Amino acid sequence: MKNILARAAGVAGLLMAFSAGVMSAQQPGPVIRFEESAAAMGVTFRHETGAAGELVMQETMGSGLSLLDYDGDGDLDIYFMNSSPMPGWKGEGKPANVLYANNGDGSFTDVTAKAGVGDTGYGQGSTVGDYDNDGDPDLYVMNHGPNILYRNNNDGTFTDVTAEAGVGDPGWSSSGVFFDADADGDLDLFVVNYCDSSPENNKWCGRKGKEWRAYCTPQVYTMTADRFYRNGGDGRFTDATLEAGIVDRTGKGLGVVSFDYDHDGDIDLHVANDSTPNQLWRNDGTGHFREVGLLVGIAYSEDGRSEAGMGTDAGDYDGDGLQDLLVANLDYETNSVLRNMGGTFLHMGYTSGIGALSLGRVGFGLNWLDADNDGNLDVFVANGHIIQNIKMYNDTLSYAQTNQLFLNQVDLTFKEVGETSGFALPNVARGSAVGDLNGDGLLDIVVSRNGGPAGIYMNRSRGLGHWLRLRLRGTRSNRDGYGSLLALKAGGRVQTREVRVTRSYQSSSEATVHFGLGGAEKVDGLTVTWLSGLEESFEVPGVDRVLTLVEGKGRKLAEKNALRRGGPAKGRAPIDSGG
Amino acid sequence: MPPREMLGLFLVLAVLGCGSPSRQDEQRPAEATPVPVVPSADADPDIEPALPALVSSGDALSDGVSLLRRGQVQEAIDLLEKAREEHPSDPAIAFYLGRAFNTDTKLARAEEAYRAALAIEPGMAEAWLRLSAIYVEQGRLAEALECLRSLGRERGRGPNLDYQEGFVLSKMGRFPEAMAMLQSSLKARPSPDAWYIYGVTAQRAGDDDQAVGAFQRALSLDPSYADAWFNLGNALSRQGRTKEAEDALRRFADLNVAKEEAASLASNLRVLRRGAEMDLQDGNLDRVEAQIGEAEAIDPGQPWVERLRGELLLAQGQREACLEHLRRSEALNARDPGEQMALARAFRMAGDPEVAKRHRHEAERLLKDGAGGMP
Repeated sequence: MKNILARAAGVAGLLMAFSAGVMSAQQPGPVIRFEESAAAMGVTFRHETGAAGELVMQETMGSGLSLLDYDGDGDLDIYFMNSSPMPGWKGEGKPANVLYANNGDGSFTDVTAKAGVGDTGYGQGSTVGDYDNDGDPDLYVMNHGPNILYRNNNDGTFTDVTAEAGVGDPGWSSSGVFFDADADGDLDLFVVNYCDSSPENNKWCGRKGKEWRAYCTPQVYTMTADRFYRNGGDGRFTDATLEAGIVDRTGKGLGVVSFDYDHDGDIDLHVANDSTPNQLWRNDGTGHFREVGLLVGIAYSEDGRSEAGMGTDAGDYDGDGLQDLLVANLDYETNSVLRNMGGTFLHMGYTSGIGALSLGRVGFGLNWLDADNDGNLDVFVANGHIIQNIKMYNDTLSYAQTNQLFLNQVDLTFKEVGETSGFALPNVARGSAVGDLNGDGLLDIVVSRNGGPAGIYMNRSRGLGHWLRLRLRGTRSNRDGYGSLLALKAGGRVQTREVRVTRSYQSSSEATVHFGLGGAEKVDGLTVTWLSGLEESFEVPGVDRVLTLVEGKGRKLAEKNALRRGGPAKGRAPIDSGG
Repeated sequence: MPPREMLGLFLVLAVLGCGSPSRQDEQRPAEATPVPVVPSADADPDIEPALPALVSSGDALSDGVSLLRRGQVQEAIDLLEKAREEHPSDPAIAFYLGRAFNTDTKLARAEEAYRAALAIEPGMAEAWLRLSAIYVEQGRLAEALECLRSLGRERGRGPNLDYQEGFVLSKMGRFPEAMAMLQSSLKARPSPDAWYIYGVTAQRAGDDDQAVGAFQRALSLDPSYADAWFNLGNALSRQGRTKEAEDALRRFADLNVAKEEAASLASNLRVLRRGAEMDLQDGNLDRVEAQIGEAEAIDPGQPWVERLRGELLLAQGQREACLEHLRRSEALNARDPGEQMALARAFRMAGDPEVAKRHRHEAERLLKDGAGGMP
């Protein structure tokens, strides 16, 4: 393995030259600023835990949210998950999930009732995917209890099709992901399940004395297996967990991200498990999997310990064309930055500067995002402790904690700027999602908070670079192009992105692919490799705009064998990362 | 800090009743609890044994330390705080107050107390090391490094201090400096831990060739070094030496899995015991029964299971049956003074004060011998 510092030096040199150009064109320099705007935008959602004093684990673990354009009007709407009352709850009303429609003028309207998505189950996570390829996003809702699939009727309403689709997993599901495991053109579904804690088998944890009681850890409960549903293409799914080789007897899963870790053209899965080793399910190209986490270096911490994996995301932060991983962990564990070295991973927690700054926090949601449009992926972490009385146990910890924003310094390190960029107020955050809510070309961040109001951090930064946002429309591949690989050349360098929405914790971000371009005023090349195997280039007429790329409408570069079920996997074209 | 290395001092802290958040209590195996405690200064020939003598302020100090050793942390804190008010210029009192807060995971207050001790006696090596450990634990690496450098200025350098500095510099990403420090330490005193951290540092710097060599050196000194097998496996995997990597990772798994499983079972038993005791207090007898049953399924040979079954029967009015289970518990001969105290209480409640007295004495004897902590 080459010395990564030497590799980094090459990348850094290129990018520093690039950044210098950006800076000179944008004096006096960018100002990174996010503003908490939920209330001002009419988003009054408040998560209820439903807690009644017995400290049942599920109360403290939720919840998540999804960004989706449910009504097809071109802007992002928000779906928040909510809990339901525990026995003896003293609250009023009945908590339910809430859907907010984006009015396109900076405000949102609660359309839950009209849309028919106000599930009152004990909500945890949600994810989005057009499973029936009819051109609108469908919603999968994960509960402590039966999950729900809402099919979008393309008229502003949804229908609960769980029973006919066969995806009503009854356990404690935390996160789930739609992805095309076998590249047959429709989206399959992987659901991450946690453990068997429930009000009925709740245990007493904490130190002696009632005031010391605390939520239990997953170690005192039994894991419940994850589930893989294969899409039959007719509106029905088949539980193909074992057939697909997903034999999971250990994982207490909370987060999941689908990505092509080994660059072989099919989509693999990374599952973040709590207190048990994380897993990497390697796809053989036919929708069959083998767990390789230990061998590739993602199963344990740097010193070989199982950590409390919560949220996870994948993205190419070092510009080498390979997807790197983030994993949020508990306090006294570092959040993991796992650099993809070509199919194996290197722990970069301390090296990146993120590790040491996560020791005093409990991370849940986290996202790669280009917050400052400089073309480099930055990191957002949504923090908040699990235990309300944590200060009794440790006087340096707190229940409410500040979220963090780490800016990529282009030398494999990050600089934390949260305090000065709008994340100074402590909260008990869980899920997080990223998208451009107001269409200004800057990525905004939405968080859900346990037992608290939702947060919308609008990106009000000034002096940032150019951008390009891309929507994919699959014709042979799945409709939204999930799993496609984009390579964009601009300003003398190449950036790569994979299309995915499920990332972070219990949450789903926008499907639109966002590229920050820094000072580059034109795009020199854009290629898309679809899961169908088609690789094509697209002309980009200019920057600072949103484009829709339709499969088959570009200039064909190559036609690789599609990853048909039972057929051999073929690799994608090597990425020209040399600029 | 390699968790293995922390184990020794962690066990000491456990005996002292080290408090940590319940999530860590229940979830993390003891050796994985990330309390980055630096080795005692007296392990370093260049730094004289530095624990303050228990003399200067007489009984209050020795009583406080004694309470701390018994696991009566809050009582120790109360006593030592009072002693500190009376003897504000005594560094030993400030130091042991810091230890007490440290044990109680009141790290901010521990920091303040260690700082106070060092303001009076800047040469107190143990205080510098423990302060440094607190900072490492919180990710305050620059402050940790400064503590170690202050110690070096006060007391001179040695292989242990070089190792500590190398460890912190590595976490800070200052790889060349870290490797120089570790080399210095290794030259004076080769140890598996220093080789291991050297390997981790080389790995972080992207030099897998050096990392593999260092992990192999660590393993040549200690073939049971699980962390080193783990990192050797990962480094070999990155080098494409898959077969060797698999062998190393298999060794890691063999060493690690049983340990994690044992820790998990122990954690479960602790939770069940605590839950059953709380439910017994609250009169939730069905839940007590359920938790006892669950514990028996995990490990039927637990003295506390028999004792709690006895207490449950007593709560149900079955005194004779209760005594039978208490005697079974007695026969299992718990080495935990806390359990002996609980047994004493149970016999007293069951109307047998003589046997209760015997168990109280046994608890005190065990405490004197340094076993376990108070309930």
